[in-house]
Amino acid sequence: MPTGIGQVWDEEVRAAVDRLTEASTEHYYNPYKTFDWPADLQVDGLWMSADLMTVHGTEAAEQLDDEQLRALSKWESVNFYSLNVHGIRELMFEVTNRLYAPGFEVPTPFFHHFLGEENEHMWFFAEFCLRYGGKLYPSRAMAFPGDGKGSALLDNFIVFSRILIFEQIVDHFNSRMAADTSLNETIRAINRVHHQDESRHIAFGCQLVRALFERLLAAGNEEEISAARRYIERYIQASLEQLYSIDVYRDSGIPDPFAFRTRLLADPARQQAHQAIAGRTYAFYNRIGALPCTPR
Amino acid sequence: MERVIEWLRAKNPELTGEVGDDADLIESRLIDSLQFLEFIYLLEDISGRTIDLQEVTVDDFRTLTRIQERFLSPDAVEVG
Repeated sequence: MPTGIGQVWDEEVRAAVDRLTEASTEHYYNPYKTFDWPADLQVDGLWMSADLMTVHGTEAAEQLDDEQLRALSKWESVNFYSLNVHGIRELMFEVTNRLYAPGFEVPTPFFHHFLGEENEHMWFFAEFCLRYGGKLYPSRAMAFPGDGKGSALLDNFIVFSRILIFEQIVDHFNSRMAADTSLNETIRAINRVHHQDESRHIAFGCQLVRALFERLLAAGNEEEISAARRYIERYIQASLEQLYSIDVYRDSGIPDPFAFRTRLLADPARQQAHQAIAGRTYAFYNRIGALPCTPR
Repeated sequence: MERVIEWLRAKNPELTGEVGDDADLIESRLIDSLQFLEFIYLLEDISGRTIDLQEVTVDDFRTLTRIQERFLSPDAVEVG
């Protein structure tokens, strides 16, 4: 069984690359002229949809007054866009490394659109944070020496899964905020535009990840396949937990932010919220058999 | 340091023996990149100081001795 990356891309991937490349060309826009950036963002209510906040549905939320809740919505939104900036930096690095690399000839045409669009998303998310929050929250992630030391097939599956999971979780927030008429129009606009572009990136990512996992099932050994499944489950959980930021709770004036975070994560309401946020991701990985509870 | 060891045990239930002061926590995968945020928060909670990742390297988290020196001792400088 050949294991080269070039053998991974089947007709479905090729068709998706052609279709999505055409769609990106067709929908090309100038992001630098797309948004109104008012000097003062007039936010009368919350900065993000209430049901997307990490306190939603919890007992801890009941102890916050309106001012704390509004401050929390502002800093959680700045954290959300900051996570986007850092996530996009990582995915651009990984995709750039694969442009025209042997084995990546098939997806490379769409990689160009993907990179161009992601660069623009990074710009407008950072612009929002710097204009209205005065800062980006720093990344709290660090690469470890053991990362990326598996086979090429496993590493590619993990890299494109990290990108896909990040995009799907973000898109849950984007689609909700784009549709939330209670939010400020600039907030809705950046979420709407990102959601529109991400629908192509997610479709592309699903095809790459599906094809990579099918090849891993066919050509990988049991240990690698188990490692892949464990990683996906843990990565989804870690992605959800990074939404709960100590820096955000501190900036929002919440006393003892460490205990507050622990309380939120232990609240049963959040397990339900996590299922909603990552529902599409769990469904996709279950469908392709890449979660530990769904062996094929 | 007790809380750090407690955390390592909770995250790695298969860990039965002692964790040596100079045992390589990263090589032995007792800490990995997916647990790292939680580990940083634990150290910040214990020390009362913020950790700026631009100012540290992965080696600063490699052993209990280094973690103690870098983040938890009273004269550890704020890395933020």
